[in-house]
Amino acid sequence: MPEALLWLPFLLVPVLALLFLNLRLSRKLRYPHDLLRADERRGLGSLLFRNFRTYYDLLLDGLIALVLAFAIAPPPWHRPAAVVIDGSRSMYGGFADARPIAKALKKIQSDPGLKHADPFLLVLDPQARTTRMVPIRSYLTGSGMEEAILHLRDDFDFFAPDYARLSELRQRGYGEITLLTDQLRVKPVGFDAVELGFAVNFAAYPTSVRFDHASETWLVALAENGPRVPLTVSAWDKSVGTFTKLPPDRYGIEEGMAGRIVRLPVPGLYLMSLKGPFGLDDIDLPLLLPARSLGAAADGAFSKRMLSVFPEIDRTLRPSLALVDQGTKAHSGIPVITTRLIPNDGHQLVDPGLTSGALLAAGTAPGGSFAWGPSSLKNEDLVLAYDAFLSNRPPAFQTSVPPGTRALHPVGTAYLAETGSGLVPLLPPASQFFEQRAEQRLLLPPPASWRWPWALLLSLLLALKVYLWVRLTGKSWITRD
Amino acid sequence: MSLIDPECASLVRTFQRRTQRRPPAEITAARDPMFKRTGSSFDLKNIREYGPSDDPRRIDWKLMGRTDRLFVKEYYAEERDGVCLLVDLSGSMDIFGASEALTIAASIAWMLGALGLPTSLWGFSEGIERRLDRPRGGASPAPVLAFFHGLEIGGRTALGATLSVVRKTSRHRRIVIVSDFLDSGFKALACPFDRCFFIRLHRDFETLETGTSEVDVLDPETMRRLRTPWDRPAREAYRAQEAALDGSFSLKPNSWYRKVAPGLDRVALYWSLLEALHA
Repeated sequence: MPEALLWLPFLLVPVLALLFLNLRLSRKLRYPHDLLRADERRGLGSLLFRNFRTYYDLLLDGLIALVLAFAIAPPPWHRPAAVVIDGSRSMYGGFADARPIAKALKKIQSDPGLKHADPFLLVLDPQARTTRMVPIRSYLTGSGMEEAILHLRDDFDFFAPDYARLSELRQRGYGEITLLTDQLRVKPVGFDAVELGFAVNFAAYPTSVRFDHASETWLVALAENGPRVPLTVSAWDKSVGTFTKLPPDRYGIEEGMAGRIVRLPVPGLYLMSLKGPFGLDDIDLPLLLPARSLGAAADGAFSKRMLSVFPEIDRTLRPSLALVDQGTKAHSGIPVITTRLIPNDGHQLVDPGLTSGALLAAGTAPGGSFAWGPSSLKNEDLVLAYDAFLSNRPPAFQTSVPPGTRALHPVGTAYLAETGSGLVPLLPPASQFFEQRAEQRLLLPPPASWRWPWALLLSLLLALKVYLWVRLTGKSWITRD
Repeated sequence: MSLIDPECASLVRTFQRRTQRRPPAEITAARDPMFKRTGSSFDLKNIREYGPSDDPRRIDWKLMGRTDRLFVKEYYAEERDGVCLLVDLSGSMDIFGASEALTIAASIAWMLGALGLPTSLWGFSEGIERRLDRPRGGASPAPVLAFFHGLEIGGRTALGATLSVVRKTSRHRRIVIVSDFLDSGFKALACPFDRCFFIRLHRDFETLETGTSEVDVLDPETMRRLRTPWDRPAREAYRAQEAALDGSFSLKPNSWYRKVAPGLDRVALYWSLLEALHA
């Protein structure tokens, strides 16, 4: 039973109350008959019409109640279905028919449930710097599968889409949504997803980018899968705005646990390129090697002891951050973290976002950053509150378009995001190269209810009510009282 | 005086002052059929020689032609001719409002008497219910109030039959009828009086119904029910009937007609009636 019918009895209560109170439209009046004429209409039709004329208001009120019930709880409409092909880089992994993109197109053309669904491609649009939902019906008609794959490849950039954009289809009125993907990167809730099988057999991805104090060089550790292909390293040439290939003597390559390790002597923006074997996609990995260490200064006994906990802080560099005890001299021109020691424990907690989730009691610190009581000083997680500031260096790469990105510049199969703080390397997430288990859920809202047909019907009924009133009483609608 | 509108006293005084400034009643009375010179001689009061204080308009020029002397004729004033006042007490008057209808009738009755007119009051529904003759009129409200005291509205309207009875019984030639005139046996044209003053107390049916599509009407006189659609044709038919009834009053020569709705300014009604009676 539709949910609307559950609402109907409640909405009919006022209508029935009108009936019960005999507030029907036939008025009983006392008046001489001399000036009135008896109704000369006779017959069954007249009887029916007379009854309708008397009760049309109640009848229309009942219908309006019914429409209102359906407006409140609309029945499920037949909504168009949509099938969405995942525009991930990994969809092109594998060979020939084993490629997930080929499987996806074949499924759309052969699956009776998907054949009539509107096909879309969920893909990153570098121009708009966001994920778009592109209709691809024209790519699937009148061309073979390989041709369609080639055209899709030419026209769109398979990188790493944002699956949250699937909700856009719901807003556009689609009911059943099916995502065709090689592996589930999100747990689908409210929509269907078909796993076509992860087929990437050539992969390389940076697992660690750090400064090695022992060798005084920067290390980029790669995780690799598939045949070892030559790896070339290019450095960003700021003067021409492009990457320039470095001679092999400018860097070192050695074998690591999961792949090769590239050793570089100076920080900066680099590009590591691996040519795909057997016609597979190349892999380009732009990486930003951050400066060796942060320069910081400390004033006050507590702040000096705290700064000594961080050995990577280079005291010879110009300080870009200062830790000071409250009451000591101030540093100008650089951010300052002021610490105050209080005799009793505070009643507040430091933002867990600053302490990697650790709970750290603190007191109020007017004019300062932290106020520690005795129990906070005994807490071994205290250092995390400072680590959040002292290790705040730019990451080697991003896996999603950073906020404030002005443009995306393609670098092989990756991008450089142009932001206010410079160029930031943008790589697909590791799940585009290695099989991973989905841990995050993606919930799509239920299909938007179409209330406008009910609103239209309601308007028509109300208009009919006014029309009948005018027609049956002979009065002008503007004089209704 | 509760049944008589309080404004009536001042109306009467004002009207008496006003008539003194107008042409002599005798001249006006001469236009009345009963005072025509070809009429019966008992209405002629006197013929005397013209004096310096007489109005030259009153000189009888024919007599002067025969006698070469100036004579003036004096007639009994028009006020001496009485008025019948017929008050409808049928059940349909309840629609207009019984108390307002009786107030109008009582006020008119008292004013006519206060102006010195011989008055004959008749209350009727299916027949004559009450009668009060005041040959000399009179300013006392007591007889009028006694007439209207304890009157009950009810019964059917038999205006046509009542008029015949009144005409046979009364010597007055003028009649004021206070009624809703909802009687199929009444025709204004056939009213057997020389001068008729019709005051129709009428509550419009369209002011009773409010946005209904069907009406179930109980006739207060016959107690019959009538269930009829109240749509455009029915509304137009009602208006046509109403217009036909209104128009029928204008067919009667020497008649005066006013339709009065409940709550109307009654002072204006009284004044125009008195003016019409005096004309």
